[in-house]
Amino acid sequence: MNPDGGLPIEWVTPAGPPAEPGGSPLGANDPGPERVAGTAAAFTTWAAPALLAMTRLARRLAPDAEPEDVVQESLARAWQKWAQYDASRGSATTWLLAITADQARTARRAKVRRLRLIDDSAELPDTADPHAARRAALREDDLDLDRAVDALPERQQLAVQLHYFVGLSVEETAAVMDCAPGTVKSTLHDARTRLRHLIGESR
Amino acid sequence: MSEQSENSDVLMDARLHAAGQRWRDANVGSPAAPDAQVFALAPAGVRGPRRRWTVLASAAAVVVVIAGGASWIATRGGGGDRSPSTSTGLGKATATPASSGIVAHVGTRTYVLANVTYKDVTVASPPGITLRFSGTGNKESVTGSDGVNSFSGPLRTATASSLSFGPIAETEIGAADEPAALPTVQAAISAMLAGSNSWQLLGAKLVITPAQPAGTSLIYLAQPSPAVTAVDGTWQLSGYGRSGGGASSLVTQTGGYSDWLVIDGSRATISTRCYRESAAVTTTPTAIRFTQVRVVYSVPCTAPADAETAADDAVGAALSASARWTRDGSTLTMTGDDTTLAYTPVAKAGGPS
Repeated sequence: MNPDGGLPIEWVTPAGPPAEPGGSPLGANDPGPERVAGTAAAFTTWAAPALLAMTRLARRLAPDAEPEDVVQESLARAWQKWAQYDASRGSATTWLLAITADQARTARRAKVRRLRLIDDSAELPDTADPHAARRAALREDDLDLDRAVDALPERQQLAVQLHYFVGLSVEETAAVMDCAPGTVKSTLHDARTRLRHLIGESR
Repeated sequence: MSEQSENSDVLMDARLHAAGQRWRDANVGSPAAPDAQVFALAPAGVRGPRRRWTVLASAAAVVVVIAGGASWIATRGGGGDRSPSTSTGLGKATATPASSGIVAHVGTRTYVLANVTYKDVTVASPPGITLRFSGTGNKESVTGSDGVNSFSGPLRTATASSLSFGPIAETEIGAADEPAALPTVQAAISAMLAGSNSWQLLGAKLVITPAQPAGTSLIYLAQPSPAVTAVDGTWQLSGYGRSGGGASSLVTQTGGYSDWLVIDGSRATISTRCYRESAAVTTTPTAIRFTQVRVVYSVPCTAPADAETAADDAVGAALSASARWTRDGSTLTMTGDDTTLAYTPVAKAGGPS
């Protein structure tokens, strides 16, 4: 765990998680850089299985900050830091998702700052709901759940987004969040308790 | 946990799984394959469609485009990939012949583009276009920007007079209201990244001359540093003001705020209650600007809005815009369009951990 309590800048993670039976969203093609030529094409081959999960995570975490741009910045950063990737510490996809989570947080905060700089006091109109695009595709009974998830503390929200919406296993979520699987389980439990409180037990 | 509570937890777990599955089904994230034009390396100076991420392997080699959860590969021209490598990463998969190094000559400081000449047309560069080398030996790399997008990657070759890059990763993010000079600047940068170059260091001036096209050169200036020493140090926020009131309308509290600023040369670390961020700092004798702001970590910030929250917000706003800075005695004051921050120095041991 990062002693600061947050996601690490550099890749530090426990041993790679086992594959989840029954269909992990992570791509099966994860040869690692040691098995491919160190070229642009090789990087593409290496990173491609993670792109869907990266895009989904960016859409969940930073829907108001051009998620595709977040993926771009994440890939550019991964390219720069590729030599630091250590396959013994986790899969390519979890490494890339950790970078994506960091970039999404940066983009989301920058977006808030830009809005504040435009008008610090203005109330945003309803049409400026930053999650409107994401929510447009939701069923009516998922809307309150989606809003409640957005109200969770940051670590709980990240765990929920990775596990339930990106579709990672607990072990994969732990690898992205740089913590033990047991920590993810307790974080998810706390999140579910809070969600029940937020949207009401009767629902 | 009571049985009722456990049942509720199971129900919430199932509900979340179901909602997540429905959301994933509606967000497959695989856009239709682009037409052939998207594969092509954009002509120099012409920005492509937004939301692409491109690897420029060399002037005529492999172009990789990744976008929106799908990837495509196309070859272009007669070039090819670099020789296969069994390395464990990009940094080891360089360069034939081995680089003898440029960092030893130009250092790792940031260079800011001053002007470019592209096909014998010279324009002044918009501000903030940077180039920075790092690493040693044949593991040298470059990072930089072209005014809109960032790029990074290893050096292919570097001698005391020649330089080539690649493969370079560059984002392809569109931008509105680009300065008029930007297309020319970007064309010159594209030429620099894609081909071979000669280079010279003339004092603080780094001149890079691409072999092609003729009549092209880029002049970078080492980031000025004389003023940096005046703002170097560890600072604690002692007061803040919004709405352009300047130093006379600062909101203060006893003991200062839980906001710290550490400036060390061209780098800064900014700590508030909920975030720690790193940034590059550019200073002149009167102005300071934070760029490349990255969140190092954040913690859940559940405290109710209070004076500290407002101070945090003021720091956040200041990081997003240029500010004027002054030193009055020991106090460092930064004044932006609508934000004023006052810092007092502290011993490093008293700063953030």
